[in-house]
Amino acid sequence: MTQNLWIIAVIIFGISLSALYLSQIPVVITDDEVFAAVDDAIAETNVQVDEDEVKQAVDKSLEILERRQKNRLKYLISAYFVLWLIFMLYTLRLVQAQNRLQQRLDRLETMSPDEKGTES
Amino acid sequence: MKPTQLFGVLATVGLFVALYLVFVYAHVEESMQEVQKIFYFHVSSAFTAFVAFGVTCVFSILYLIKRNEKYDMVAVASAELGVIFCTIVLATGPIWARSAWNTWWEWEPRLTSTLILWLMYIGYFILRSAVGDEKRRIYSAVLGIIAYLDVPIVYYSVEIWEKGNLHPDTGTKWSSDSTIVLTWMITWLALSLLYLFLMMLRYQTERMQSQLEAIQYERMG
Repeated sequence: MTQNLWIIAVIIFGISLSALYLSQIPVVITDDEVFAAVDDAIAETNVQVDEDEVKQAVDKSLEILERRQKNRLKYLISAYFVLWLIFMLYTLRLVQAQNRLQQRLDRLETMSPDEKGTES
Repeated sequence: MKPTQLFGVLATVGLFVALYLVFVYAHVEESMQEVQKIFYFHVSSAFTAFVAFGVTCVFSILYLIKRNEKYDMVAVASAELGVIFCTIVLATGPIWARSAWNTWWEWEPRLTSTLILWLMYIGYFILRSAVGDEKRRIYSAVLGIIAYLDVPIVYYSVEIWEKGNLHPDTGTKWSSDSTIVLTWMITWLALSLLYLFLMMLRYQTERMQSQLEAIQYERMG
């Protein structure tokens, strides 16, 4: 039973992490895409701007956004790791205690009254 | 299928569904972004702990009235699970706080009263291990009832102490996003099923311990 519970717990933990990565991976925007978008925006607005400065500012802001997202994911994964660790360790401790008690009860039941007297 | 196995299967399925909803279905909340996903298990664990401590309180009262050992076993099993769920609240809270409020811990009303709640139930187990058999049950039943008085204090702490709160008050609508609300409800349901499953396992353990003690007592007497 202990083994089954561990397998179930590990499967759930694995699936949760996989789901986390599949659904929360930061969207990476390439430099080419950024430059193309900035060019389009400048062309649409017809305003005289320094294209290089604008591109640098956009690059910097994207970098900050990606860094923040990575930090948030780090906290999210840590929280779910701690949560699952507590559940798994508690369930394992509970099942081990139950097995140990069952073994002692079985041993006492199979003993004769004289033997029980010597068992402590 | 035994009830324990049934609840084990239901809890497992429930957790699978909850995790799918948390990571795939629920929309990412705008202000806190991905880290808000801690909320689902953090708040559900807090509510499950409140329920567990409530069960301890009710069965402690029943034990004091009827002096039936089974009521004490249910009370202690539920108290232990309450401590486990409360530990999860106290462990995941600071991780969320660090990201959302830029601090690991703040001595604000709800955090402090939750820590006091946790410490009181830790005291409950220290008391049980320190006192002899019959007195142990009576004293811990009294403590189990008194400690429960902290639960409404935790819940209404934001209203009671209006200054220095980081948590939203109890009347705040969490979200207008139906995916977030549904996901939270399903997660709480899954944790409630897990509570029932672990409660059965823990009660069985307590009963076996009691049987063993009875045999040993019989042999000594």
